[in-house]
Amino acid sequence: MKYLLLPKWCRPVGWVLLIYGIVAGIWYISRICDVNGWKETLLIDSCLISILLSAVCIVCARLKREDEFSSATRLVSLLYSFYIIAILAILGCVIFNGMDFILYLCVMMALCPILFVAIFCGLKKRNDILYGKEV
Amino acid sequence: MINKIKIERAVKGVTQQELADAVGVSRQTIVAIEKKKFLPSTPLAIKISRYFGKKVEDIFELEEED
Repeated sequence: MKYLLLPKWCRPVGWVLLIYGIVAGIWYISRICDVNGWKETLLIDSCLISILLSAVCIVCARLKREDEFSSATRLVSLLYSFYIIAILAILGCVIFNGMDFILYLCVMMALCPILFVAIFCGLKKRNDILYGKEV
Repeated sequence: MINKIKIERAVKGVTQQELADAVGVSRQTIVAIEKKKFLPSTPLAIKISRYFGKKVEDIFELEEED
């Protein structure tokens, strides 16, 4: 089973998302444009989601093939964690009409290491069975 | 565990990349196996042996301390 690799065109899309995320973040922090209510929530949520997705796009589009070593497994586990958190964030925004920033940050900080460890252990075990172990 | 992958590759005239592609792993894995830094799984050992048309025990041997 190959890891979920993305086509090369995702890399420029990732860079665009990253630039948008940074600009939106700076905009939010500096309050250049005074936004309130749902616009504020939309701005910060889209900033965070786009930064997450951009990391996924940029890095995943660089992965050329499945790699059996722990270093690649760690990277892929981190990216899969980002996938899941980004999807949860999008769902949260859609279902709850935007999420509270602090709540989002707490959820992400709590979920990310848990997801990372769970996914890493699963992938490592699978790789050990399929390919073998590093000595 | 000793392996004769490098010898078999030389006999057959294949590169590490070609062997890696044939058995479905990265070239780094083949390098690590040849340097005895990676212990292949049973399925992978069988695939490598079949690629060279040999038995597993002809390619891989246990060392004294194994």
